[in-house]
Amino acid sequence: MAGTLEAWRMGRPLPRYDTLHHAIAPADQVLIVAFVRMAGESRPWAIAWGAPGAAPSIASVPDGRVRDDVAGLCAAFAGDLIAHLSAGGPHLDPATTAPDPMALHQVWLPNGQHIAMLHQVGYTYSQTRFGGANRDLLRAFGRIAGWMFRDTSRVGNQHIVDASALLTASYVVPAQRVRTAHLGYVLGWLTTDGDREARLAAAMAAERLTVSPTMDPATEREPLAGLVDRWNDARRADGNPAAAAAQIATVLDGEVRRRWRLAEQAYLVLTADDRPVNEGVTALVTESQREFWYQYLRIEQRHADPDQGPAFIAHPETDFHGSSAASRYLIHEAADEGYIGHLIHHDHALFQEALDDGRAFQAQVLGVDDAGTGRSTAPRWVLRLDPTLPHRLRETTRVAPLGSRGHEAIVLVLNASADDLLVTIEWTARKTKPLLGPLQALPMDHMWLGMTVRFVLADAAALTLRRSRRVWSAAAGPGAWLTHGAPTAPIEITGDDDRVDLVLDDIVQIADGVEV
Amino acid sequence: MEVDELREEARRNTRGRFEQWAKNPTCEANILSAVHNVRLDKAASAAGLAPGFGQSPFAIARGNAFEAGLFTADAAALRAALERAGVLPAGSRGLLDLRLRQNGGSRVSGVDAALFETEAWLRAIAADPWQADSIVAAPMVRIPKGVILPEALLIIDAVAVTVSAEGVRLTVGEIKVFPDRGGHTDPGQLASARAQAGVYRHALGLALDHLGLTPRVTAADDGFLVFTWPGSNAPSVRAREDLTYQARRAERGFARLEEVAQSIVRDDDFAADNPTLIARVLAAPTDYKEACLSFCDLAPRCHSRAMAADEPSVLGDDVARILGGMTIARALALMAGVAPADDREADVQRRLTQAR
Repeated sequence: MAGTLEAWRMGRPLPRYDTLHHAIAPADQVLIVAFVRMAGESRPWAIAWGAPGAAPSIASVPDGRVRDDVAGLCAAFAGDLIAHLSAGGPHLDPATTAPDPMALHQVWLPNGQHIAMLHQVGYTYSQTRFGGANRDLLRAFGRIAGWMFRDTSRVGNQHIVDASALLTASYVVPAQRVRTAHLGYVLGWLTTDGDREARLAAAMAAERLTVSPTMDPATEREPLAGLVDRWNDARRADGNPAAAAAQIATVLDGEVRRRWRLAEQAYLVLTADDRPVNEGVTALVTESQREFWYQYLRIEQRHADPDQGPAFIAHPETDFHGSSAASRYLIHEAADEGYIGHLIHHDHALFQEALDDGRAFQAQVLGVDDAGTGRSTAPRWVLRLDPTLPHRLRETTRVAPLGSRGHEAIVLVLNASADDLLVTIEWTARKTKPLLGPLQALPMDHMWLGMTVRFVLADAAALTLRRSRRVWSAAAGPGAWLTHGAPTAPIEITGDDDRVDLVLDDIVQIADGVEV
Repeated sequence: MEVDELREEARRNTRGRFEQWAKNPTCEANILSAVHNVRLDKAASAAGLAPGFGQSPFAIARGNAFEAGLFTADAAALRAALERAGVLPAGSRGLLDLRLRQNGGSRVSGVDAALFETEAWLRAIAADPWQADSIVAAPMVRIPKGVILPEALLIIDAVAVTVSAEGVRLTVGEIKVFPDRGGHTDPGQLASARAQAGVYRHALGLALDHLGLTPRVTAADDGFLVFTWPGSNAPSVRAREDLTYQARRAERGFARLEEVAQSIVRDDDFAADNPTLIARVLAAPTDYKEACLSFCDLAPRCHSRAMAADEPSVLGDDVARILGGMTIARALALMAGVAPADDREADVQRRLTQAR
């Protein structure tokens, strides 16, 4: 809240944190995408896509309700989208080579509602029976859109960028939170020169224009409703609908181009930001590339070449597979746990926030001792903390020294008095390696005596990640009824022809290699 | 004549007015607007503001087509979906269509006829449950209580009728054209659909009590929501939605709205014409919040006023809650280190400087 007030006083948005917490790929590795849809429909009516700094490709159809026309529109876009994301592709196989963070290809969208369109595309096309010559391309479009949507729910994902969310995560805007969800509003604050009044006026003017894929009802009432009626009337009467179609295309072009430009502007604002990208983002990118490989590319390769293994199509709602669900849950849990842990070592403001919140502390080293026996080493420190500051320490809490992720210690004893809080910790991870930082000394080195050391609470992301792999072979474990049980009832899916089929769950797809 | 027309429109729009009030129940202008059915876009136009909310003709057409499609051919599509979801037993039969002609129905000509037929239907299933049609489209019920909101009417989108040895069970359903995306379904859309179904549940319970039909006929505590499957026109039914809380919310809400309205509505309001009521709404005190941005066409006016008064609400509900009645300038001064005037300011100063 103090940040919001300070930004108000300064009359402009202020940087949030000292570093950017997201990778910003070079322009030639970025595809900006924006959608427009007819209200009430879930498929696109117009799409704009292209790299920042260049004119976007824009395609639309006269009536967003005509299924075959919309399929053609989607096919025109799908090829470029798949090629763009897969360009970071085949060499990423982590089984043979380490994923290359530099190969990250991103897709930027204006806001979360555009990302939700990806989900609807997944529903519509991942198992479509239509599309004629484009059917396989549309199915591939549905699969990649489904993966893109799913990955956005993984904390720390790096491929799909919600421009609005990234801007508000990177800047404190002196405005109501509801308003800052509007990309144009935030950009009005960020890109307008002048004082607070000038920036606010620009933001409020931009706010009047919708960024969502659904257009302003006023625009749909006039001129679009009449034009679409004219186009349909002409088509039904074997007349010439071209004139109406051209007028519709002009309106849609303006609408979708404006949304695309806003996302491009967000990209340019962030690339022009003076702050460095947090060093911890490299690890997030590596994790994202690994996810991209295992959850998308590898499966696509199997679709193309069944000899490489069984492929399956993820259902847009869930996986209907207990082991897979448990594993994915743990992977998301690990991503969530590890996110701040990757970033906090390289961002003083983030550390300060954790300090205020009791998720970090600084302490003076009063004692250094080795409790190991024989050849084992068990360095122990006695730390003194200011007892008036907030902390969340208890015995067994695991902590990591700031700036040296990987080193880890466990709290053995807490000894509190009115004036002191003495904490005994024992180093448990990388205990024979020097801590990163100015001293470059081993934990058991007595050089640490009297020094003030900063710590953060350690995350259990690595452990959670291991559990995500173990769950697959836990058929005899206590939770097997859940993770290895069969679905209780056949599950149905409605196709885009409104026919209802039983879902071929992933077990069947994988085990029997059923073609879907 | 104009007042009569307004009243009639007000009766029909009870649910919408109730939900509008619930979005900011502490704003007197909003209360007056809801009670007198003064549309906020009309009030905004009168104040020289451009209305920002409205409905798309495509969305309306899609919604109408979807609803109409559900009830064609003996409600085959809806029935199949309800049976798959376990709302109706397999092999269910019978559709009683009480939709008004203007809403796509074939028989019922007006409000009075709909009320009469709905009452007749409820009495008939109480007398002879086994002859009950399993789906009823658009029954209309009246909320009988109210001074400020007299004769509130509600059209329930659909009711599923199941019969057992214990009696007849009516399950209310809300139909929306929203895409059902499983756990990713828009939370706001889901919440509004549940809230509306809760209002139906409350109204149906009142109607059954009023007619003395309970416990032979009961309104189920759960309901169902009918959405669309994304990318298709097929219905997607969310069954067993617990409406207990939502129905209670509606019950309390109507009582509270009545109570609050009585304290601010003037006796002459109900005889007033529309321009007078709009003037009353525009002159009423307001309570500007972030929620106003999502529904109220007068929000820009309130924002300007809050800016002029240096109110912290322009920085969001969180800031406003912590600063209370303090101006932004005073909060900035406290942040800069001026001496607090009292304990309240000292507390705010501590919170502001600690968080920096």
